[in-house]
Amino acid sequence: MAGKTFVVTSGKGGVGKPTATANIGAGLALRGKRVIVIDTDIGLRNLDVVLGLENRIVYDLVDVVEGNCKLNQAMIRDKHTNELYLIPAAQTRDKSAVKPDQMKNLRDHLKEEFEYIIIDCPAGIEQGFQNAIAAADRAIVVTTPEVSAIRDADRVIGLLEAAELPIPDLVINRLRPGMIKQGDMMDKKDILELLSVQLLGLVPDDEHIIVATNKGVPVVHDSRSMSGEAFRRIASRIEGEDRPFLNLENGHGVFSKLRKFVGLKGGDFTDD
Amino acid sequence: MIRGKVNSPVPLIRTFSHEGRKGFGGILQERKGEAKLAMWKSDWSDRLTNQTLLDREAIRVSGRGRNVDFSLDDTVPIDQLEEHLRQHLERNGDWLVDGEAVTISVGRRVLKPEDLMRIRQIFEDEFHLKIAGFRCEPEILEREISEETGVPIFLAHPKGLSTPKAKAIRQAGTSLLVKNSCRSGTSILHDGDVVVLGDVNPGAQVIATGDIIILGALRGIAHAGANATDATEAFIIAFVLRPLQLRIGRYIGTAPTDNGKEQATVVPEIARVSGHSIVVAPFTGKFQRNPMP
Repeated sequence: MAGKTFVVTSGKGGVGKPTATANIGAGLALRGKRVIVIDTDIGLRNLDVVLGLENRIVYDLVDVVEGNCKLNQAMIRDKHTNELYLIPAAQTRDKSAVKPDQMKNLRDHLKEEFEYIIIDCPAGIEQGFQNAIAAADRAIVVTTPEVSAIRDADRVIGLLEAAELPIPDLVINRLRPGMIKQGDMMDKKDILELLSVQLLGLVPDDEHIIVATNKGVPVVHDSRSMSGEAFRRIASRIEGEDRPFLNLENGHGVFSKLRKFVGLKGGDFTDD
Repeated sequence: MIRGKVNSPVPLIRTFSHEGRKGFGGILQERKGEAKLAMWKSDWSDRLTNQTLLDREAIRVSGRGRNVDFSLDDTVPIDQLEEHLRQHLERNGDWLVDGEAVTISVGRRVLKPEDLMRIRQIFEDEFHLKIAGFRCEPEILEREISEETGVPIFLAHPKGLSTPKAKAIRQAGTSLLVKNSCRSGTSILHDGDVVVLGDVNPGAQVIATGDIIILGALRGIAHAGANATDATEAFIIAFVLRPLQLRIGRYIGTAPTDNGKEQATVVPEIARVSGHSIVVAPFTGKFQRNPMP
């Protein structure tokens, strides 16, 4: 099996990289793919929390590259899908504990066994970033509709190009439908024009995400949530399906409230 | 559209805004005093020489009949070029017989007599070759150099451009063609003109001693006429001129900080210095030498 390797990166912190990584990984696993997610944010690990696997960590990424354990000892199986695995980051070390070559080596081993390898990149563009992108074939850049996040995304895209990765795909996170409608938030057209990359997904700002993160259940498992639907669509686009983008300007109207009231679940999201 | 006022490192004089001009009518500023400028200039030349060579051969060797010709890339700073030359001759110079006569093509580089002598020293004293002559473009031919150094200088293309036409093209330096967009963090420094085939995003900067032409949107920083004290001739043209900051010579202009909507129609615009301020006007496609008195 020759798996595909993605890195999820953003430059700026706080835009939702671990959330995106967890949900894309879980989304692909829900489609029956064998997926492994790797947290490279050594010292500030988060992905295990988002996936609700914090209490199962025995060995971590640094243990693997230093040879303290076997590779499959550090792989933690997800609680909700059998096909999803996590290699957590070490919390007591720092970014220099891993070298880009070691990441490439790790990828070569994992490629045999998994269809998708998704690497969660730390914020910033230093050693941790270099480690994370070294092993990736493609990149997914996460941004939010804020000027500062977009500026950093632009810088990161430039660095990815310099590292000779193909042009990355973009996920715009935390879109607020109401604000776009009023013209108070940058919309996807402005963002794509500036960054000149392909759009992979639009994820609305959604209370479900916070609840899901705190519970350790990725929102993609929640069939009623808009953001969950957005991540399911992202997963299907990664698989090569042509799915329309969510229409974020609707879905909060009278009809959707009515649908919710009547108890219709899932599958009724409007397209853009 | 992102606009912001940038704090200048030196006290600023507020100059008048131009009426009837689009885009950059807002705040136009001039640097006070020359001290900062001089400092910045030395910084500039430092950075220029530290710039790494892109995948380009600085030295190319070709045979012209029985004569061997060394072609020196005219975009490489002279100090770097010397290093390249030494390395090149050390690595590949074996096939040249001592005392062999070679010619040097300097392209459009304007050589000072001392530069010429330094190149000559490398060839003649360090590697025992004889320089038969220098070839250069017609518009940079300076007879004094030939007389001063005693080395013959002749035209690269004897039937080349006539002098007035060559002047319109540009006297010194060459153009740099950037064949992609400049994203945040990109810095382009060039001694000459720069043409960008793409956008210049916020956080990127293009600094040129000559003019800057952007076939896309300018949203970052552009500085034309960078190391000239009097750069009234330099200009910046962009299809969409929405920079955070414009610099031409010693003038700095920041974008107006209004939160207004972007103009409905976007036209290519040209920015240049007129009457101690940077003035932006629609660019109609015809370049006029002195459109603003």
